[in-house]
Amino acid sequence: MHILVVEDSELLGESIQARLQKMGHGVDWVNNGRQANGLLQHQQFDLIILDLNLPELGGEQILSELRKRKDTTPVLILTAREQVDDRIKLLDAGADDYLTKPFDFGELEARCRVLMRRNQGFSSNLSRHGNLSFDRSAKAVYVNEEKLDLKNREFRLLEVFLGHLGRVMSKEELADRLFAFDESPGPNAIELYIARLRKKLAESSVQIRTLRGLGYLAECDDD
Amino acid sequence: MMTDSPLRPDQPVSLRNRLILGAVALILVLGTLAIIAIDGYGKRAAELSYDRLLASAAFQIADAIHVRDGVVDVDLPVAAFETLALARDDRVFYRISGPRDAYLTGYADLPRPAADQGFSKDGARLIQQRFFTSRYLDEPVRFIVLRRLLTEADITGYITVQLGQTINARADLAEDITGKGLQLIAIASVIALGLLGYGIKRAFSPLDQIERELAARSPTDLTPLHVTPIKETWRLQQTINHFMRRLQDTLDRMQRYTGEAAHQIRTPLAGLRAALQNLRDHPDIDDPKPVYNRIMQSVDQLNTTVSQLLNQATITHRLQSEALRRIELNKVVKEACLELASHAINEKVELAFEADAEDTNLLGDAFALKQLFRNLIENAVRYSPVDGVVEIRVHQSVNRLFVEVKDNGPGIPVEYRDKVFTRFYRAPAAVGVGSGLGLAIVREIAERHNAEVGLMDNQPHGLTVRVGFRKESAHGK
Repeated sequence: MHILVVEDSELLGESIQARLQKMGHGVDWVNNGRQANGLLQHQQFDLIILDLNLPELGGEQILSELRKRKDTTPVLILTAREQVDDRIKLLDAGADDYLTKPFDFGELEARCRVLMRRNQGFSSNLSRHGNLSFDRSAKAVYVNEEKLDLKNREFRLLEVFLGHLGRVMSKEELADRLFAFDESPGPNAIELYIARLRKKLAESSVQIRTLRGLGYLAECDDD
Repeated sequence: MMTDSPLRPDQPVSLRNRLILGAVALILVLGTLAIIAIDGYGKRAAELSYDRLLASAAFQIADAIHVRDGVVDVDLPVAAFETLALARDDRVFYRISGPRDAYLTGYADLPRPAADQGFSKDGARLIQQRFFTSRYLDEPVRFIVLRRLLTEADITGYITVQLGQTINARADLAEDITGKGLQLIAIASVIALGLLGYGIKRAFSPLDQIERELAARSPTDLTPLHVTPIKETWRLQQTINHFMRRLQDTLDRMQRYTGEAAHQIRTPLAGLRAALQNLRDHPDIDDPKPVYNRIMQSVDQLNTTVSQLLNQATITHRLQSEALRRIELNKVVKEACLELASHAINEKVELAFEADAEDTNLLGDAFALKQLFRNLIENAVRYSPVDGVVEIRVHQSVNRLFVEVKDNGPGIPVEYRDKVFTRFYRAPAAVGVGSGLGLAIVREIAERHNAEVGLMDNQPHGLTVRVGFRKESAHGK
């Protein structure tokens, strides 16, 4: 999944980026409010982690601009304020969740999972697709109760496909959701990941089809 | 709300009670005057009516006096006394005398009218009458003296009828009239008091309304009062609303301040925690050195923020509570330089101090001023390039003393120069270390000393901060 981190503290921003990258997400980090706002006008993300006190443009404004554009990307707010009033205000302004600084990564990861899977239409961390079950919290995939050995990126790629079953995804779209901007995957990286994933999914009900010149389509025949 | 929890131990003055007291006093005075008037009127009315009876009886008696065969003959008419008998408890006395005061009949020793109550000497009138009151037989008695001129052929002269009656019935009548009057006054007073009370209550009802509305609100509700506008309470209402607006502003500022302070402290803490958790969970990271450097930087920044917050608290308290004393500006600036010199050298920056003013005495708080210069010098050092020089100079004009701190750092673009004095504001270029409090503290201290802080470009590049104090002599001393 493609995540944007907006945080002006270098140490914190970098740490979050490193952590989420280790989990296989594509993570971009900006430390300036105006820059973040500009980026969000042109780029779609699967999750935004947003600090409130930012140079030039505050987090609240970024959030309200985002919602004004009818952009429903889930937003997790990082705040130092503990007052209930502040949180109510944030949630009313369109934030999906908030985390008070300092926080534990375990909690951050859990909240990110919830927000991203909710955005894909799943209400629990475990989803079943025919004989395939996808466990977001344990980061494990089972086919016929047998665990598949998936690399981080493969897991995320499958996650993207499961969120868009029956929809054609272009190669660029997939790359956007999988990689940060500063990661430059080779031209065949997506094809490579898809080939590996397809091989591992051979026994499952989820199949990925290639549509020449168009992209990829994941289908689930749960008979 | 004030009634069940008095603000002060002594009773507050009640306008309402004052008004009610005033009204009662007014009614008492008016009532007393009315009582005096009615008492006088009652007495006069009683006197007048009984005097008429007395007079009519005296006329009847006088009418019944005839001269028969050259002798004055008195034939007392019963009817005359019957009129007087209307006053049942009163006794009647009479005395009749002929010309030259010759006693004819009745009580010989009745008191005579005093000389000034006597008759006028114009003898032209046939009948003359006078009333007077006197004591007889140890009782007050009302008398009438009636003179009638006899103009018979053989006898000329006045016959005098003196008729007296004790005054019980008059007193009763007077008392009766006064009593009735009193009743009326009492009723009128009660009605007046009731109306006044009602009127006062109504007059104070806008105040009650304000009180009720204030009492019913939650302590956090600082929205304007919504009370029926009344001319007399309008100003009060406006004042309360204005006050609440100011309170709200203060609360907002306070909340913003605590929010900012929380952010300034919690963000580096969150960064530290996150970085450490990463290092713990993934110890196999390729090159951990930059992370360690960032961690140390964060700790330093946190330390700066915390000390500036503490500093600001101390300074604010000092500026509010300590009186300004005579200090020597040169000395204070020099001390600040000395304290920071070694820190600057560690940062590979040199401090240079230059005193171009002789008499640098002024009224100030040495501790706070030293903090001001420390903040300026620390900032200058922070943004100085390696091997840079920070110049600190004290100089003067005719009525001002200036302290300038110059660095060769990047400077501050003109558009940000006003904002950098705002608490927690950091210019976009100022990455990292500043707490955003230093210049806010500078401004606070400068304001207390009536000093101006100006930001200017340094040549060839860098920033000059100039603090201008008014000389002591310029304060009119």
